[in-house]
Amino acid sequence: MRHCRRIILAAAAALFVTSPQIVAAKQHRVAIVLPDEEWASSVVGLKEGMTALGYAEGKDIVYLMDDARGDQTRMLESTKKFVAEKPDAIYTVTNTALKVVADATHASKTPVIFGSASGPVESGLVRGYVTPDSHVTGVTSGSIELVQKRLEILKQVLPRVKTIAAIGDLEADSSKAAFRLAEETARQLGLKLKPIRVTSREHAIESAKKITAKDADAIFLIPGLYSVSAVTGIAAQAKNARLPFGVYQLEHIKIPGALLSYGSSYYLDGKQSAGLLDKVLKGVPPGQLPIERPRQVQLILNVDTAKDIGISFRPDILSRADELIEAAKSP
Amino acid sequence: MKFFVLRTLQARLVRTLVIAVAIIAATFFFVWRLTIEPALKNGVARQQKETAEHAAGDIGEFIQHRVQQMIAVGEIVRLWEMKSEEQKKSLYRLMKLDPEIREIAIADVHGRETLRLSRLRVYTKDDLAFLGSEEKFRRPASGESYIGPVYHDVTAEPLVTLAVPIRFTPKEIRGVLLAEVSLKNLWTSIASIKVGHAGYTFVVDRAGDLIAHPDYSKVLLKLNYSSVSTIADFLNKRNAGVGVSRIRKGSNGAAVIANYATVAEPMWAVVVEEPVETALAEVKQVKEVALFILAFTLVGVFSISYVFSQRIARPVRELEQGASLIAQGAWDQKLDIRTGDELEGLAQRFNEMAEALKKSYAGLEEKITERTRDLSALYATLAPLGSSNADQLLHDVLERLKEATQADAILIRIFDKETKTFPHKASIGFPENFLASLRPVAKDSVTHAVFTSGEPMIIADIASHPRLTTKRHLTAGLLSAAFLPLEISGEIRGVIHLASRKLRGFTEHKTEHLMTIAHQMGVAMHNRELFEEAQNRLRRIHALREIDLAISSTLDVRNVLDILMDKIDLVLPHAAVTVRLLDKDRRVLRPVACRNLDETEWRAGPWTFGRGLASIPLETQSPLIIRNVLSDPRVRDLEFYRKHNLRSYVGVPLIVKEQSLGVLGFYSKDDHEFTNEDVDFLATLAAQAAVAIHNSQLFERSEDNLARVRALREIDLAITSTLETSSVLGLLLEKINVFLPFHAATVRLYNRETKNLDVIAAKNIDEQLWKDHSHETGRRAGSYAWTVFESKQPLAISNIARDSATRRAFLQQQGIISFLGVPLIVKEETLGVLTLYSRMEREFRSEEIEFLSTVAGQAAIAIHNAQLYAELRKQAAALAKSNRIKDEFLSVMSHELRTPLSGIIGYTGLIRDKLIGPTTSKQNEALDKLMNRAKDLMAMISSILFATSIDADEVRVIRSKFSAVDLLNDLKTDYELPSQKTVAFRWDYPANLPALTTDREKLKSILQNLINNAVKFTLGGAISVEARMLGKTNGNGIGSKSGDFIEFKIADTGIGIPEAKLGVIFEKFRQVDGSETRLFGGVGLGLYIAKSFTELLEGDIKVASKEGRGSIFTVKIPCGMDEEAEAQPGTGRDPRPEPKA
Repeated sequence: MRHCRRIILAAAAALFVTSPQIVAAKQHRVAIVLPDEEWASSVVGLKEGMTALGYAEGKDIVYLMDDARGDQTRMLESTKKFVAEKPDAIYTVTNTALKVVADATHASKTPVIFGSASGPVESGLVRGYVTPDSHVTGVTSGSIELVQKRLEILKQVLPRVKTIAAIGDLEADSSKAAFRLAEETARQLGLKLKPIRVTSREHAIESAKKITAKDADAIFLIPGLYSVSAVTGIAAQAKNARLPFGVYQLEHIKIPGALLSYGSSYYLDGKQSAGLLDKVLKGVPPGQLPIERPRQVQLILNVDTAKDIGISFRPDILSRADELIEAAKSP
Repeated sequence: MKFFVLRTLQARLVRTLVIAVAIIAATFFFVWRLTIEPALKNGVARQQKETAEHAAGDIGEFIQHRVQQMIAVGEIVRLWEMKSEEQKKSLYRLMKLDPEIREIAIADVHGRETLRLSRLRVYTKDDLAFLGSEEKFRRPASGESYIGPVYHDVTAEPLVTLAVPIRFTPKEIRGVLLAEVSLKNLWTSIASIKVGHAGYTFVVDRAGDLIAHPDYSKVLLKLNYSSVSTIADFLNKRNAGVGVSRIRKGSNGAAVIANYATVAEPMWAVVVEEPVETALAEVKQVKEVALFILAFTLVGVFSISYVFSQRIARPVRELEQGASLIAQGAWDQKLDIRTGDELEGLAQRFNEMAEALKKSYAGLEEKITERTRDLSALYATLAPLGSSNADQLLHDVLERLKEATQADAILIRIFDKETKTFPHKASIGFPENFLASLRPVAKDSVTHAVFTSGEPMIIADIASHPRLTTKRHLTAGLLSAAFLPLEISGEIRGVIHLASRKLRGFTEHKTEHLMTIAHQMGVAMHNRELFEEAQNRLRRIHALREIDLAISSTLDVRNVLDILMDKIDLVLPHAAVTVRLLDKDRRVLRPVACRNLDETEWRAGPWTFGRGLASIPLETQSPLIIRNVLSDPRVRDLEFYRKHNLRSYVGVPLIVKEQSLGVLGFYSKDDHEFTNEDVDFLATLAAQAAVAIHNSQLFERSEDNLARVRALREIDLAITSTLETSSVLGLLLEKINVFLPFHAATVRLYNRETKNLDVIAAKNIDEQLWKDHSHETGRRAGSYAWTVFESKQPLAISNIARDSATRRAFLQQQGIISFLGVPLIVKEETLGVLTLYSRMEREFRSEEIEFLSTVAGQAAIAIHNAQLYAELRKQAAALAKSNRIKDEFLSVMSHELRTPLSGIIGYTGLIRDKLIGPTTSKQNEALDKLMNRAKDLMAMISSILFATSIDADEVRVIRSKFSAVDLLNDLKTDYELPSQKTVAFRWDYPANLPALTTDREKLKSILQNLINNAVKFTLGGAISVEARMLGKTNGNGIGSKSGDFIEFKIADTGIGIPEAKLGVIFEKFRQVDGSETRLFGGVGLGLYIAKSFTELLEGDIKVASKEGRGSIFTVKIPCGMDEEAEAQPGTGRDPRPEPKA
């Protein structure tokens, strides 16, 4: 009888210990260094991706976020502050922010996941796409390599365009690489590229204000912290000057003044990067996780902007588009 | 466990049951393993196989769908007849329809690409390729569809090339349509496939490369799974048709159940894996349920069987217990078993058997009682044998024996081998007069007969016995007797005599019993003897051990000897003990210690130093045993023995390493026959004592040596710490007195002038009185001291009264008896004599003389050093004086020369400048030479003055802040090369050299001297003057910092300096060529001044030179603290404060 009682107690104890409902799961802490609110959709995508993977915010995972408002110094300070708090990983967006975060976490080797950073290999942040061989991994936006294709599409959409004003950052590695590629492609396509290298968001807007139809036939967005953070302002100026404005992300094309976009989406990239963050939180070193490219690249045309600036898309172009932004068709 | 080896009926039943259960369990096991489990596992495998095949179908469709789509586009849209722009539009539409197409291209019939579109890249005409030789063109060009191998792009995404012919007619092909299809999104469909609870699906290509996996990162890592067992099956086309339920190693290394299905056209494999734990979870569950049912059944069967066996076994057990009680003697026990079967009959037979046994036992009881009494008697007799007192023991034994044998008197007689008699050892019950009347046993007596035959003799009626003296027994009322031989250790040693006041005979059994008792008594007595002997030996061993402990715990001889004598006294009491030790110097035995004698009297005995009995064992190195000293002719001091009433003597030598140290003497007060054991014991004690004495002597000697070494060291320290002879010698005599006590001592040194031995240190003598008698005490020849001085050998006189060769009257007046003198010798020269005097006669031992000689050697060195030191001081004083005179002379002379020379130069200049009147060219030439020579002379005098000031320590450093560049600029402008030399000057210094804080004039003088030197010794070639900063301030033009240095380098291509001269060129009045006929002038002070000034400025000067090639002088000067820079902010300098040195 005594033996029976012991066996029942042992079984109950074993059940108690092994029961998944009773074992306390670890709550993960993920810091987010957001370079500017322009990339907020990336964070939304990340969180949704994590939720889909079973992480309940506030219970299984806690996000610590700081919006640097386009200030690189603040990005650095935020990163340092986060590193001191020893989060399980740091998430960020854009090549510029990634560079700051990667440098600041170099010593601590805090895992860094990026949601949408252009050219991490080309700008030397990691050794390669397959094996980053670093504490950094994520989803590249592909915005640098797509510069060629975007210029080609711009040319196909607007065959009369000859001179294109390209606005990008002066210092950002991604901008430098994109400028180089854009200049090379422009030559191939018989276009004249007028690079406008900016040093701040305000500078970008001010520069855009100065572009008139005499100076250029279209404005082209080069990936960069300041250029992208000023995308709304630039689009407004393009609209005012009735100049076509080519962007590259889903989020940009919805802005009035943006004409066409060819690329991915911060939101989708963020969601895709959740898969990588999940693996990192489960203990896989970031260096062993290949950098992923967006699963979708879409051509989106803003029909409203086309109307606003007085141009129309050819039917074949419209048929190629994956999505059209058209107010009248919006529900 | 014990239960399973029991041979009980119940145990057997249970064992049979266990075996049956085991057979059932084994049967279940085999049935499970051979049929049920494989069937269940195969079910899992089949399920996996179906899943894999279904997925393979989907993937095949994924590929084929695209192939068909491309064929359709080629044929239906009529691509071949379209223009390029139209083709583009069509292909763009196709790409929009199929997002997996990354790139698409059209090649003409020759294999040339005419169009290529991409989602990511821009292709121009220049980028179009020729594909004519490639498989991806040739196969479609021949009418087949082409599905290429999987490849990865730069970001490792997997892609596959699909190519189809563009047909004009079913037979005519106008081109080829190629598409690069991304397999990236294949993972979504793969990931959605559910396999069991934790299984997954992945796809590999025909090379085993991973192309789709739920974990997309693994695809990007381009993993190759060809070594995974399932993939190896696929690659080797094994197990393609059936599901495999075997547990194998999966792609992640864990144990899995895995199966695959082939995608036929591209020859890929869809693999389904599931960890064993989850894949076989249901099998395990079934197994557990089955096991539970089996276990429950077995336990039930076992329990029922156990109860049944209990019912059978109980009456059998009762039968067994009853039989057991009967066997133990409980014959009244009745077995009451009523089972009605064979067991009941068996119980009845047992009852009958118990009744029969009860009857037969009754006769035996009486016999056993008698036997028990005999055994009790024997036990009672032997019980007191453990007593420690021998007499008491015998008495007790007799008492018990009397009681046991029911005798009235018992007597024990032991045979005495010496007297050949049978004295009685113990008795009880015999009257005194009976015992007193016992006579030596006659050979025809009963006692003798029993003793010799070893057979007992029983006399039932004494009165009628012919051989027994009846009167004595009858008088004592004793009517019957028994005589038993007493055997001890196999030898008949006596007889036990029992007597009774009743007439009684002994049966054979009784006699045998008495013999047993007698034998046991013999054994007991023998044991008693052995016990006493062992006790004695133990006492001796204890004594030896304690002495051994004493020896190892102390080095004090007296302690050891005391313990030694205590132990001898304890083990061999009533005796006197003495210890004498050998005086090696005099070869006599000295009394050291004694016990049970008056030590003072013993020591003072007239024979103490004589050749007594002790000398014999000392010389023979073997013990001497004398039973009666009074009758031994070797004993000389009979009076001593008589006085102390000593009779026997044993002398044992104290020997260590075959050398006799002394003798241990042992005396007894009666004639004592010393046994070998006694002598061995004393010899062992003596050997131990000898070791202790030897150790002690060695210890004392080493202590003495150590003390002497210490004294020598202290003397050595004193000598090296001072050069004052008198204090050294005073200490010397103090130390000597400690180790070699004397009444007076002197140290005498030989005076070369007076040729006397003068006293320079003395102790305890009236020096004046001794000087007055110097002819005796040592000043002159004939004295002991002089003899030592002359012979250079130590001299020891134990009693000067017995020495007639030397003058000694004064010494005798002073009470001096002994003398010891040793010479003071350094480098084979005798400096004097060290003498010791004693007012007691004493023999100086060789080690004492050796010690004093060593001390004298040290003293001689000290005296010699002091003499050398005094000489040196004299010479140094003379040198300093002459140097001072020289400096004063040079200073005065230089001053006196400068004044007139200034006048000469001044006036020569006036004449040369024609201020006094016109001069001719020849006069000018002469005046120039005169001016040059005068300037040379002036420079020479200035140098001498500088050098004199430096030597007189009159030069002071006056620090100020100045610009290094300005200094160098000044120097640069100052220098004009002699016109007759073709030497080029090169000045190399940065314009932003920092300001220096040092003595500007001295630095300038250093550089001038070095440059002058270079100019002087360079006939042709170049001279370079360089300056640079060393340290933190690296020529930034602002103030220097503490710790910075400026380095000047003056290099020339002159005659150079021979290597051998490099070490002396900075000395005063030194020139490489010091001959009278030297080519270059100068007094040789320039480099001396340069070096002296450099050192004053806390700098460093170095030279490197090669003869005939030139010289390089490098001067490094500290820049000094730039205090001004700190005090003046806003001057463009770094305002941050520097740490001050």
